[in-house]
Amino acid sequence: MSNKLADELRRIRGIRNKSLRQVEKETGISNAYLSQMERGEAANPSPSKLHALAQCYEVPYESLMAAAGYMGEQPPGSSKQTVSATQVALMSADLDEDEEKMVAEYIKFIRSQRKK
Amino acid sequence: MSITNQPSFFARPESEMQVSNLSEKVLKKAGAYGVLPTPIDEIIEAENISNIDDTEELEESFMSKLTLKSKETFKGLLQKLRGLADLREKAIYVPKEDNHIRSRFPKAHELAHQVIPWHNVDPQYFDDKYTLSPDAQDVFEQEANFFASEILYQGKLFRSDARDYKPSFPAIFKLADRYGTSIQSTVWRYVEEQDEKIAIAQFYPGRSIDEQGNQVLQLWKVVCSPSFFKRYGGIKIPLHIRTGHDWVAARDLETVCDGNGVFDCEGSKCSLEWNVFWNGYTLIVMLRETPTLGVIGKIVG
Repeated sequence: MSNKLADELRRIRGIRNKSLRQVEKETGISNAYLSQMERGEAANPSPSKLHALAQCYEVPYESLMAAAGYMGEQPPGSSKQTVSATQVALMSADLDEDEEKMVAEYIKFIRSQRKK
Repeated sequence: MSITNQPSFFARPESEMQVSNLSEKVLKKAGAYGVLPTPIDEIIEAENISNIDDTEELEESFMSKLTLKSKETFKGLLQKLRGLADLREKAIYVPKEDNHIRSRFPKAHELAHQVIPWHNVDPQYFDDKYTLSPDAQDVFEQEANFFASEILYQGKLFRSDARDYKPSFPAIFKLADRYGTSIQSTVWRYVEEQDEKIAIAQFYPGRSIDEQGNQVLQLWKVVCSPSFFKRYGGIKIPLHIRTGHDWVAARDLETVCDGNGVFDCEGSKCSLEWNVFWNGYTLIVMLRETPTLGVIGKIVG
C-alpha cells in the first residue's frame, strides 16, 4: 500500500482528533485494519473503504483515491476530456486510445443533442 | 490435449456486503423487491436516471459528422460497448437488442455505476489531469457486475431458489425464465450459490475446422462452486473438443446431453456426472459429483 496514503490517513485523523475506535464505529472498518492502513501494511484498500473514510474525515474522496494510487496522470497528448466525459463504459476493456477519445466525443455529442 | 485447470471462483468484490445492501435498498425504493423478473426500467426511473435504450438515431447522427476513418473507429467501438453511463448527466445508454433479455444486464450494470457512491470520482477535482487507474476501473467493473447480478437475481431470493432445485439444465432454464435472465448468466449465478460440488466448463467455437467440417470448440474457462474447489482443487478438462466427443453431441444434435465419466482431479480419479447444453454460440458443461441418496433436491420435471 502507498506510504502516501498511510501518511495522509494518520495526518487527517490527528487533525480530526478521532480515535481508531471512533473511526471504526463511524465507518464500519475494523480498527485493526485502520491501524494497518495507517502503517502502510494494508494491501490495496478498496475505493469503498476510502469513500467511507473520506466521509468520516470530511475530506475529498478523490484526494484519498489519488494518495492510494487509484488515480494516474493522463499521458501527454491524451484527451483531457476522457474521464470527465464518460467516466464509465461497460465492457470497455481493450479500448485503445482512439476508441476512448471517440467515446468521449460521442458522449459530448449526446449531451449536446439532449440539450436541444 | 488437456490441462489441469485451476478453476476460478466467482470472485465477489471486497465491498460485497455494501453492494448487496445497496441493491436491496434500490429494489425496495422502486417497490420491486420480490417482483420477478426484476423490472429494471422502473428501477432506473425510480432513481431519476435517464434510460436511453434506443441509441440508433444518435449513433447515425453522430456518425454522419465523422470522417471515413473515424466512422470505422466508431463502428468498431460499438461492437465492444454494451452500454455507457454518463454520471454527470445521470443518464445511461444501452443499445437496443433484438433480444430484450440481453439488454437487462447492461442496464443494471450501468445503473450500478450511477448509484454506487464511490464510483462517482470527480475528475475535475484534479482539473482533468488524472484518470482512474486500471486497478480502480477493474474494481468498479467487478462491483457493477455484482450489483447487476444482485438486482436481477434479487440476492437471497435466487439463493433460496437455486438451493431448492436439483442441479440440471432444465432447472436452470426454469430459473432463467423466472428471473428474465440469460441461460449463461443464470448458470454462473446458480453454481455460485450452490452448496454442491459443481464445476462448469465453457467452450466457444474456435477457428479450426474438424474432419466433419464443424468448428472445433475451445475451452474458455472453468469455474466451480466453493465446495468443488475445496474437495478437488483442480480438474483436467480438454482444451479442444470436436465432433465425435460426447459433449459436442449437444451442439450437433441440438439437445441437452448427459453422462458420467471419470476425471483427473489434481492427480486423483473422480467420478462425475456431466450435463451439456449448447445455447447457439457456446457449449456449457456442468460437472457434479455423481449424486448419492444423501443428495436432496426438488426434482424438476
